Amino acid sequence: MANAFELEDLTKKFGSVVALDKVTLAIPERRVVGLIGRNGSGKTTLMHHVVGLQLPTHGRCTTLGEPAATLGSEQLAEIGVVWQESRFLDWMTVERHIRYVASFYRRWDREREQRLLHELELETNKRVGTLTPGNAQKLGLILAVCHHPRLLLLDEPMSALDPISRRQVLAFLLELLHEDEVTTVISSHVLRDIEEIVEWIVCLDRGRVSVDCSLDSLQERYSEWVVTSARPLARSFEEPWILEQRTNNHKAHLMVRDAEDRIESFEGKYEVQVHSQPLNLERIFPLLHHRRNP
Amino acid sequence: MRAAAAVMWQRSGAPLYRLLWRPATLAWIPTAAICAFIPMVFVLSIRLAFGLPELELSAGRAIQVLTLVAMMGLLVGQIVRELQHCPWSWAVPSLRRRLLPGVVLLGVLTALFARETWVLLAIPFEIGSRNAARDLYRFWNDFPPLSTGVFALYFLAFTAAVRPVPATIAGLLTGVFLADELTRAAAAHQAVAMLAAAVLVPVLLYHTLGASAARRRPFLPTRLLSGPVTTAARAPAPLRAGGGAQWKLAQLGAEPLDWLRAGVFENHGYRTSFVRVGTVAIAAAGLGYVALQTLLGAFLGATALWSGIYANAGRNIPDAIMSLTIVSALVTVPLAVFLTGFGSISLTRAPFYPLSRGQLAKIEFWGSLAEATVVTGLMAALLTAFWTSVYNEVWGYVAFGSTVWERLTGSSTAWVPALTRPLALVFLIAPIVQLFRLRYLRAAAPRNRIVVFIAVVALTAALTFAGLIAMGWANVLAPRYSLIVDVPVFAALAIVSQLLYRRGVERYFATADLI
Repeated sequence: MANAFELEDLTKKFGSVVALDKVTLAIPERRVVGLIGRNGSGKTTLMHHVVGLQLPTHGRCTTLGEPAATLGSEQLAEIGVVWQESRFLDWMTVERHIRYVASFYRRWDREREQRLLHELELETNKRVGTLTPGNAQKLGLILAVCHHPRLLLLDEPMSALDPISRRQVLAFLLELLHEDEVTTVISSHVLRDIEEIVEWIVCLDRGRVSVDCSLDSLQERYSEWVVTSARPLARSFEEPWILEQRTNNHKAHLMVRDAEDRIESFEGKYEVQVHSQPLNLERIFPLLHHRRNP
Repeated sequence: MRAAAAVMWQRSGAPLYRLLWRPATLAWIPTAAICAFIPMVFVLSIRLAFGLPELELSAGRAIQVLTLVAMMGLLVGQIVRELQHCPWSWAVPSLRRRLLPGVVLLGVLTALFARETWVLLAIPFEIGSRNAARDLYRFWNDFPPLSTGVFALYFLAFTAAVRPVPATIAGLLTGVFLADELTRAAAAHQAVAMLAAAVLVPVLLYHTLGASAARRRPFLPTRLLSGPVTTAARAPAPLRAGGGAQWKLAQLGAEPLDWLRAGVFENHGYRTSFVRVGTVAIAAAGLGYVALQTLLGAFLGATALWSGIYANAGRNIPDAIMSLTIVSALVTVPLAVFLTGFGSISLTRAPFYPLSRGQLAKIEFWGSLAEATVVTGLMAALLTAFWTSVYNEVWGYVAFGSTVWERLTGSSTAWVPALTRPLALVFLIAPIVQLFRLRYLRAAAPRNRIVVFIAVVALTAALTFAGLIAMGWANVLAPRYSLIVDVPVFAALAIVSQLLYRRGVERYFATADLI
């Protein structure tokens, strides 16, 4: 399978600040990736590199088979982006702005546009400058998907949406992924949402890729143990694979990594009963940034 | 220690802190210096050269001093609106009351400064019949509080201006055409003037600082947020929609003019762009005309001085330097370079176009060239109007015994080279300033923009003077053939400059971060 984009040993510095540090990453086509990381970890900078808005200090980035720095109209017309901070032409109405942007693309799906406008309840006669942040994000989404992109980059696309709109957007994205099989990278801090649509997780930590694996394997690696015992438990369990623990007399909650095959030995060693349960992405995320046992 | 002092300074409630604790305020200093310097050069040079005080007391003085006040008012008004439009200021209690002392203090300081500038430039005189100039002079001297109040009122009017461009034009036109009469009327009817001021000042203050007026659209994205430099660089978007021309992907790169149209459409909308361009052209022409008259007088005065100084040494040099070309170029070149350098045809940086870096470079270059052409055309019209209208007027100077004018012109068609050389210089210098803007201002953090802006001013001045000196020496070295040589040389240099600019733009877009 060809790669939608590849980053090879890519470093980006802003003065003395290293935004991306020797990032090597390859995203195959049709993969749906969740790009996660703390504030300032380099997620937006990475997306800027993918579309060629920023250029690496070292290393290289290839998008849709072309170096990102020399992407032409043909390649760019196959990319859709929703940026975290939408920048539009404030004086235009929503309708006029859509028509204006649509005119730059060879194909533009009016049906999809009208459906999205209707479902997202976006008023077309309003000036873009008067839109609320949430409605501006809806407009950004419409502009990003109606030309049927091959690569869709969504940088915090739902941060300003209300819960109902968020559900609508998620439903649409699921439909889009099914219809177009578009390679999608979605960055969000609302991990519960992206968990529903992504299959692959890339986690950035201070400019470095700390996780690059499928969501399933991530959920297999990390789990929560509920430890119970008839006797009072030790205040803490000293095991290197225990990332966090909370003990309460006869019961303890342990966050563990790569420990599925250790349950029996643990039960024997501490004379306890262990019940292992999976974690969702929201709960795994802090563990990915665990400093004590990196 | 410094931090503690800063906190104490903030907590003291010092009114100026809130207004002036920002880099943009630095713009106040060069603006004041330029506005004060120009009339001083004019008056002092004429006074020293001719000793004719009646030349210096006229409506022209009022225009220059009022322009100074207007610039100060606009600057403070923009800072006030920046504070009012910031989302965080919505919750600040008593914002109006807290800003008031700073505005009033700056208004008083500016008015006093303007009045002192006026008094410094004026001297008593006895000759001549009753005229506006004498009335004006007596007014400023006999009624300091009232005259200071007039300046303060003018300051407040510009501080209160919501849209800088129309306010600037209205104020300047008032200054150009009516300041003399208005001020004379104020002197003659002081009671009425004071009553009018008593009504106008609170009204203007309310509209300057009024929370309801400023906050009517609190979430309106304002171009003022980054201060006056950004305002100069980016024209405010009009509220009216433009026409509906369409562009297609197939046209990208093939038709640069389409992208120029797109740039105009984006930044102005078609319907309003003509109005905007027209008003800016009128303002530029008005400013240019006044500045040309001022500089012409200054150079005529300086000519007599320098001719004496250099009577026995290098007589050709002052002749060359003091050519009409220089007088024209000193006004038109910086004005044109600034209008070109901070134009707004280029596309927005909003990244929703499928435009390659190469195409962005092409659009930037052709946009710049189009702006340079339009602006140069405006300057050509201005120069033509100026030289044809003032030619006879300027002959008046010769009546005072100077042969300067004859030596300067040689013939009645001397304004033709005076027109063509500066325009060539615009095409030569503008690309350098445009490239400087592209490389540094575009990417600069808001905090650094004022530094870049000042650097652009300095660069423009340096390049203009360098070009003028080159022209002067060309005249010295080959006075008879300078015209024949100048045209092809400047044309070649302008082409080389444009080609280098194109190369620079392409290199910039190939290697720079675009966001």
